[in-house]
Amino acid sequence: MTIERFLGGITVLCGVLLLLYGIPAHVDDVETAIMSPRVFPQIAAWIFVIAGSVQFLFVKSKLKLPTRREFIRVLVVCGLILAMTYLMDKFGYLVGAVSMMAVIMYMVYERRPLWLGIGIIIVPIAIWILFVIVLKRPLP
Amino acid sequence: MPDLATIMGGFADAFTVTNILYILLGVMLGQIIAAIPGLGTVMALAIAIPFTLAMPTLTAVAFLISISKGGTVGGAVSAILLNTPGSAEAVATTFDGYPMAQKGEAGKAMKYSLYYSIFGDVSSDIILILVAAPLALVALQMGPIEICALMILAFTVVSGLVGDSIFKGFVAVGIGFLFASVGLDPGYGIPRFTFGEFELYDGLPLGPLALGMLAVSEIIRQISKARKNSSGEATLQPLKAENQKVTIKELLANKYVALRALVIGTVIGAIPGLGSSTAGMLSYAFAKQAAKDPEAFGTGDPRGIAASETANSAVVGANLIPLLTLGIPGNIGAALLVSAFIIHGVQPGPLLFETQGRLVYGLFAAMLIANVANLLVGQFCMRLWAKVVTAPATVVFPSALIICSTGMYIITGGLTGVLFMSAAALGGYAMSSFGYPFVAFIVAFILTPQLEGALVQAVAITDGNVWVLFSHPIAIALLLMSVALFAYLMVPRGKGKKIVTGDD
Repeated sequence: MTIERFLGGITVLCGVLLLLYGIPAHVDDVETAIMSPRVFPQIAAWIFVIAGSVQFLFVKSKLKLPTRREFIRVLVVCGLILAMTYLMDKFGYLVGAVSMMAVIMYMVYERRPLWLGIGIIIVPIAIWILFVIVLKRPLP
Repeated sequence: MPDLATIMGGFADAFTVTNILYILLGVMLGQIIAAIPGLGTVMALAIAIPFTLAMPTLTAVAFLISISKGGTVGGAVSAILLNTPGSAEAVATTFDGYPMAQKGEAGKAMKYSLYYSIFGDVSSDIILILVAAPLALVALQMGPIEICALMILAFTVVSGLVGDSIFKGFVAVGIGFLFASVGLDPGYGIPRFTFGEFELYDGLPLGPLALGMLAVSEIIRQISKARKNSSGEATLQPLKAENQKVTIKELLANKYVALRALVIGTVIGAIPGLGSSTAGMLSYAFAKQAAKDPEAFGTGDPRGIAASETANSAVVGANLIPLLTLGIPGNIGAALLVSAFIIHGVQPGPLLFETQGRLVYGLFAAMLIANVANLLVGQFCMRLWAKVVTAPATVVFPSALIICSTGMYIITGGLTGVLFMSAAALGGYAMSSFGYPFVAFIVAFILTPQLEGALVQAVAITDGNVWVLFSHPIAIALLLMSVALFAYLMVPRGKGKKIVTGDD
């Protein structure tokens, strides 16, 4: 099975699930409505069913997918963003920002002391000064 | 049409010391960030949006537009000196810019790119100023039925011209419809897909969604691709750029190429879905095709730079035509601008000229000031930016990420916005990896509330009778255009005839 067939199949499945369960369960209908609140989600679901079917049957794959390593790193970076925000909330902006810069610069294999110093210390402090002192927007 | 007092008031608003300083800063930031390979104008905008929160609306919008304008100039620096475009729109500039630099004429190539870029930018701004208000007036005459037809045309254009499959474009539009459905429905206030969460009653927030999908997804892609021992790769050696002059005679020698490029850039910019890189490439191809000596292109011919730079810069002003008159964002940059407008409580669209005419004309004035600033900053600093292009990606991308996250934290006042931004970044990454154009998604997300409102009105007016449609010739014409475009995109074409894709 090609990736396009797989994606097309998933899209159709999403459309069908929306029509049969998602929309009836999460959008109330108004019988006397000029246009039901369900119309737009239903349009979206039908687009998934029709365009997904065409994709399943006809679209030829030209995709170059990311490697597993890249995908895992993407998930890690997203997790780091959330961790940084949590740290920021709990311990203050500078703790969160410095920790995140340190981990990400380690992840991108930056090992030069000068650039590490700039990235881990100067950049977070500069951002803090910009937001808090220049723009007067409070940061935790 | 706004009266003279509104126009003059708008222009006066723009000419304040604060605004001029922010415009200068915006142009400089745009030029610097776009000069760094891999970052580009979109990233510059994404980084800057959080900083605009504390600014008055006109200052914020002027600052962001100045960044866009600076970006078109900055992208050429690394294209000429490194053979690596700083931003996607400068790809065609490498074809002749780099060979010129290799011949020892890097300074001259940068001057050519600056002057033609400014020419394209100023001219398209003037076109925007002249046509926007009358077009908005026409747009205001349109009823809900015409608006629905126009939106359908916009979705067809965006789905078809961006990405490699119209059906994947439609799926992206469908996702946009679905996500925009979250929250209270505009007709009866019925909650849709809110899962009992009160925060979702207002719908999904545009700012985190746009920033996450358009900018953060690209940052995390770049970070994910980093390999061991690759940190030194960013330290490329640019060619030296001496201060070399370009005479008016030399510039005028390429006037027809530049004029044609202006037309191409303006038309492409006004069409939703396409963008600066498409304009630059198309214009370069046309210039080469029309030349008596096409073999000279690619060897350091200034006509190549004129064609590319004029066209990609002309897109910046023209891009605002659909945005300001119809509320339709043309590309990623315009989508980010819409989010900035909305964060500042401004809804782009035809009503903008009536309700906030002074702001619009202030924006126009700011654009003209930004062009002068772009010329001055470019004239004196382009050789300085040559030093910046060597900044390592290992510092630049993490810094950009932290600015975006901090900005989202401030905009939404807590973790929720950052959570949305991360989810959107992941979604954007998945969509672009699987070939679904996220520009189509964002455009659909932005336009759906307007479309749904118009559709409710249209159904109420027609009482569900579709035959009423035949008494609306403009709507019929727009729908026929959608069908024709769809049919055209469905017809298989040869390799050389494939329709251009809007990669920006």
